[in-house]
Amino acid sequence: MSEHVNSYSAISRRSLLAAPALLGAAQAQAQTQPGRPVALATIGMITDLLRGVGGPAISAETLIGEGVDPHLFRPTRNDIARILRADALFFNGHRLEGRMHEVLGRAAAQNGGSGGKPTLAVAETIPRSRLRQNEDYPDAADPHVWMDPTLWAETLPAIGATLGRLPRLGRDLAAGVAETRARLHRLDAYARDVLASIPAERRVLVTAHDAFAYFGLRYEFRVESIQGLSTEAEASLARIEAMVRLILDRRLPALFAESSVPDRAVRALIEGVAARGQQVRLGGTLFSDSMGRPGTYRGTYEGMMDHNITTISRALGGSAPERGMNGRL
Amino acid sequence: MTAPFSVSGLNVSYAGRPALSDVTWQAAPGLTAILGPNGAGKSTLLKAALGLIPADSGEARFFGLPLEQARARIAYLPQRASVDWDFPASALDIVAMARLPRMRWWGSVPRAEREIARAALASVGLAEFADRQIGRLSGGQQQRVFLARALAQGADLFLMDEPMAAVDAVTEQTILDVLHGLAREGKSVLMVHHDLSLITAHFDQVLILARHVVAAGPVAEAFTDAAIARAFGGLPGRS
Repeated sequence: MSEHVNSYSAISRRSLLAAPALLGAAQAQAQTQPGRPVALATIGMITDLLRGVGGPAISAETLIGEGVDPHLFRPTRNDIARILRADALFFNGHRLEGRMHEVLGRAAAQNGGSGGKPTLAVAETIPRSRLRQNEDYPDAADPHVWMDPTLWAETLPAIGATLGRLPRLGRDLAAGVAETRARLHRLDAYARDVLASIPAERRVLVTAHDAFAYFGLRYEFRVESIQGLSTEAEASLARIEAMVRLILDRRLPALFAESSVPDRAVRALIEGVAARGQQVRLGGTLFSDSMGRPGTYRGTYEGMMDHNITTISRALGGSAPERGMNGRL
Repeated sequence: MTAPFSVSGLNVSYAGRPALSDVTWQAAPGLTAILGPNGAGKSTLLKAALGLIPADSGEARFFGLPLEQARARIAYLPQRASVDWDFPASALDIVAMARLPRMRWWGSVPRAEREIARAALASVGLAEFADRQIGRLSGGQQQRVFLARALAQGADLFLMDEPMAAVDAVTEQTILDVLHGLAREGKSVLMVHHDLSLITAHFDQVLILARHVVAAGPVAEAFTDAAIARAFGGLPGRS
């Protein structure tokens, strides 16, 4: 262990010497505004809710970066230090952060009381009856709640109440909750509008892993994924065979890759369909468990969802504005 | 006529301390002021009814319906200066947001919808500020932009949380004019308010709170010295 740590720090020291600009960037990212409490979220989709609710009164940060799969994420020492240092901690729960489950569970148990650090498992605030079963973990629900903006909006009051436990916040969080909820409902209105234009027989979403169930329930899509709920499970040949038949039967024009999941299996499907003399194209890469680059539109929750909704609609024969809901794609 | 707003058995607590206990109340149509000392639960009542903070128990109805089914008929004006605008939006953009659910998503905002947004801005005296970036308006002007957005939404019930706290005289007069305009159109307003001097001249009913309902009803009956003394003098747990 110590050997590993030493070699790691030697490498980072070398690369830091070689790239002072990178060091500056990393520091700027890790730097926190003095005086503002730090609310740390595991995933960017939660960070955006924190920003919306807390506004400038808090410094909202993300633990798991762009393009990193939260199912597989293992915290480094530095990550654990950030978790301990944060003034409030927000994670998705329902085993999304599969390999951090115990760390987060302990943090929540230690800090959950009224005197400790405000901590919230965001997706676990939604009544279980509204959530889908998690086939990988019988004690959990399908964690990909953000895929339905109206369901995601239901976590806002609990987020506001948890942030409200930070001392000296000096801010009415209800306005942030109301405003953020309005924005999520506006996103939902856009989704309903542009997805409704897809012909009924094409309302099938074929993706790499099973992250789109809530999306499918909300917007009336049949969702078929090559892998299961967690990206840890491998796709089986029989599964790919069944999917090829579905694509042929429905004459689906497009299927979708995901930014945080390798697209091997998706490519195997496209080839499998081509071998039967039909063409299915890659309709685009969707964001499922991770968002785009920080600082870009797709690096926000609204931007990532707009990207997904607009991409799906256009690839499956619906009509959606080319540059999306806000003209920013 | 169905009450525009009602709550029954509403209990809310913050970190284990009760903020509202067993509030059951029904608003009559028209202009209602919600009064009470600091910590009486006035804002809490609106926030809990709108699902912005978790309630321990109880339910709220709007025109006899649960929130989800009545959302389009409700406009909420939160306390001032607590919203962050991270994108460059003009005053008109903010107001036009209220019309988005009625629009198609492609192309620009249709002229008719833009005219409604402009008219709402004009009704709060900000016609000439339509293109000004929201962050470059004064606090009182921002407050009026959000009021204009609430108006443009075409709601039937307006929940306003201390809109006249710390605003300039022009903004205060604008808000009072808007209130009376809404009353004439048959709309209902619930306004959390702290200035007792304005009640008799401008409101139809009052709800006086001190974590529980102290008095409620038409101003002439419920807005009494005794009720005010009870609410403002005897809040349990206040030193």
